[in-house]
Amino acid sequence: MKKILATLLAVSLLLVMVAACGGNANTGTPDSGTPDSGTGTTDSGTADGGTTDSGTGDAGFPDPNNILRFATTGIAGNFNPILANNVYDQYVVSLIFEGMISNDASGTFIPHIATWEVSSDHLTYTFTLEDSITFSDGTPLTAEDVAFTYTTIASPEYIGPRGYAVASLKGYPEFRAGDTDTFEGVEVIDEKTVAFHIADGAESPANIQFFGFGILPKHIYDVATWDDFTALNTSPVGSGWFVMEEYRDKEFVLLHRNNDYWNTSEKPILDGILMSEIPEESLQGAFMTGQLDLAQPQTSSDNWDAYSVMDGVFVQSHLANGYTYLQFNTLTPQLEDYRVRQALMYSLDRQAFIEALFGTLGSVGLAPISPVSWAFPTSGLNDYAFDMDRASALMDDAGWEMGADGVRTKGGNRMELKWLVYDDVAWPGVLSALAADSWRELGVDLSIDIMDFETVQALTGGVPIEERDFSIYTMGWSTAIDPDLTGGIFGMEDDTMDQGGFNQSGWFRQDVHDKMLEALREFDQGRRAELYKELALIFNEQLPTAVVSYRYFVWVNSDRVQGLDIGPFVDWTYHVNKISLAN
Amino acid sequence: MGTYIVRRLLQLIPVFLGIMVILFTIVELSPGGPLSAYLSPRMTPALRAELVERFGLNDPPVTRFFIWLGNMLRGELGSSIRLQRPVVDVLAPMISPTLLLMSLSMVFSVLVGVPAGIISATKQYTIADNSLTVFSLIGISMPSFFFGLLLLRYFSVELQWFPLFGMRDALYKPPNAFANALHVLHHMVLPVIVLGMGGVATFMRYTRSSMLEVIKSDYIRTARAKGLTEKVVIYRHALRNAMIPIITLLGFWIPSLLSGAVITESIFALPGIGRTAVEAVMTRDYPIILSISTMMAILTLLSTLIADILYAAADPRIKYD
Repeated sequence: MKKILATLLAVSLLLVMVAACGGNANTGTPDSGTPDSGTGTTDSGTADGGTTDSGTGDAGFPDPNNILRFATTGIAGNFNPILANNVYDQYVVSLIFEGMISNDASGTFIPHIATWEVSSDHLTYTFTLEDSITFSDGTPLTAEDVAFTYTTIASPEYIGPRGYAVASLKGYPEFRAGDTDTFEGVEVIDEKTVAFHIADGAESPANIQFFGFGILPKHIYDVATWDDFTALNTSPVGSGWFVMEEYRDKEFVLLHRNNDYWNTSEKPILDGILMSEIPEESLQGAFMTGQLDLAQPQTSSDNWDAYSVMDGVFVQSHLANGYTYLQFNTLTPQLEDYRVRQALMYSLDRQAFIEALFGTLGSVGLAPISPVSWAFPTSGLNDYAFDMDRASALMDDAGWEMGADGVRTKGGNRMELKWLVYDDVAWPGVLSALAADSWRELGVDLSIDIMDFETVQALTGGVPIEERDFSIYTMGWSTAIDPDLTGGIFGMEDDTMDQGGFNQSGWFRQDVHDKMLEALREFDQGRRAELYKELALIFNEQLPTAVVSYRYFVWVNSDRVQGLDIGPFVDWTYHVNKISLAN
Repeated sequence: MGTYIVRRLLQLIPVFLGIMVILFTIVELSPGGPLSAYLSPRMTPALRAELVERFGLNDPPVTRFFIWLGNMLRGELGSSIRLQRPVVDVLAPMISPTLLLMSLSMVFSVLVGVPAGIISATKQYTIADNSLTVFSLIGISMPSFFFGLLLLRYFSVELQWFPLFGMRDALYKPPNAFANALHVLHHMVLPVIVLGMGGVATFMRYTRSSMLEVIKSDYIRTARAKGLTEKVVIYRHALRNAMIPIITLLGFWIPSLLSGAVITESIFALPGIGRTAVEAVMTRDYPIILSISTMMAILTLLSTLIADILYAAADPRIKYD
């Protein structure tokens, strides 16, 4: 027994040493942390170092008190602008890399490291890079790097979520298929100028949004194989404000200021940013004990109330550019009539649902466009305020008659609905429970299947029509700045339904399809807004997809954070160079 | 003994293959797939089909099973689909934190549970025994996530004795390896208590009942009759014999520590196999799920084997042939 215990103890101690020192912490490139370190050792940045003399003249870079501490959950480590696929990875990417364009607080695209011109036929976008841009390793950023970044997305090897961004460029299908070695869509004109050619027929004001991805340094990322390329994900190098100092999977990402940032007037004030994995349950504790500067807790009235009375923190909210929605499977006999769908919405008290979960941090959804967008129609939309009589009348009109067992029937079909609910977050369960009560009164036999998010996605998307076994499910998403509705959940012809596209409602109308395309191709913003209003009115009446709510995002920061600028179109990384910490 | 071990090892092979089949089937039957991370509303069905093809998800399940089994036997774990990194690179840094958490919890469980069990047994039906019994029942029935949050609330937020999250402070620069180890240990105190609590209670119950059984046996009465002091009777004669079932329990306890680590790591935001497994399951990252499950299967098989062997070593009455 003693021996076993002794062995266990010995093993534990050994593991402490291994775990403490080891791991595969990805320390940044040697020049990332302390390029000006006097002694050349990598740990010279500690407060006791005293040998450093950074570009800004402050001794002891980085000062631990001048590091912004941010809470994350689920950083995946795909720190590459063309591969990152979750919001926290995206934050890291936007701190390290820079895109050619950006957008302002109103959602208007603005030059970032390049200015652009569009040809009169809207088919050629010519970008001119600013002078003397360099990557954090000192190498100049040129048109070649821009072309390399976009060509990589189009290349046959590419596996990632950004393919759509180059899909409208000329010659994409041939290049992607490997039929040709030259990508017609991208043309390097000179060291500072690069032109993108849009394929005929794909011109749209929405195309500009694809030119904001961070630019990769070709001399680092132009490697032999795709595996070599993705191996660079955890040690990214870009031209942005910050550089990677240390990344430990499931622990933290530590970034330091890029002291050699090319645009000296825009250099960040912070010495660094520490993004630590902190579970939602510990966020309040972390703020109370002063271990955190910035976080986005889940949107809930409980959270809002807790942070509002907490000392030493500031809490703010803003309407998000997105919405939550409820998808009807319109191909089932129960839900094919739009009056039935309207009846279901009239008998679902969304106002009560929002007040219960979100308090004032949400509003009733009307159309698949966020109220923050210029395309949002300000009038004429039905909010389907709770009205059981109206709901009953609509059911009667649609021919669904109340049966003896309290369930409506029509032509041999019972009004049986199956709602797929995921329990990863609370709101779908709450909404479906609310519906279960009021819809029973309406004569609907609702069954609720609870599962995880991935399963809902698997049972609804990518499933051929005849195998779709659901009536309703809910989801939420953030939308792009451009209000374009094509390719989404709204019934496109090329979203071939039997192959299981994203149009899970199965609802398709040729005139709506054409109008979505017309709106996508229209360059006059006033006319575009009119088209989106017409579309919003159609969706609001037909309800293939009922928009449930518009949500707010909640942000909490410690009192020492100054200069924070957050809005629906600009996240905290946009102007992070202006953030300072009062100690 | 040698032949026994060899025979047991050979028996493990069909068991292992059976586990592999079941594992693969379960993963195969779970709805969903690993490609969600790549899907966007703007992705056309053609692009989606191309991705499915690239990841080899189009082959029939039987083909994929044998491809996977072959790779696994050659030690090739493949690449994570979501992270596009080799599984080995993803899992390697996660192993030592989890092993650390598990072994410290085991030590904690034994060091607290066994003495408590002895006290409980030798002082049967006293206040000490009764309160330890109540304590162990609470320890067994308390959900660990609740217990963990309770500890965090009190010791990390109110008193601030222990860190609230993580295995180290990223901004702390330890002057030497010893300070670094202390720093990590400080972070491990609460997680170890939470993960070890169930073990404390279990070891205590087992020790208590095993001790009670031994104390009532004839040779203990003989020892007492010889005039030995109570201390010698209990610690030399009774304890050694009472520990035999506990040794087996040690082996069987390892798998439950591993599953407990999943919850503990999530509450305390520690890096480790448990959290990696949860993330992989939520995103259906097949290569990661299968690799971790295989590791767990091997660990379970080996720990039961070791328990059996230790049992034989500790108890001369048990003979294997």
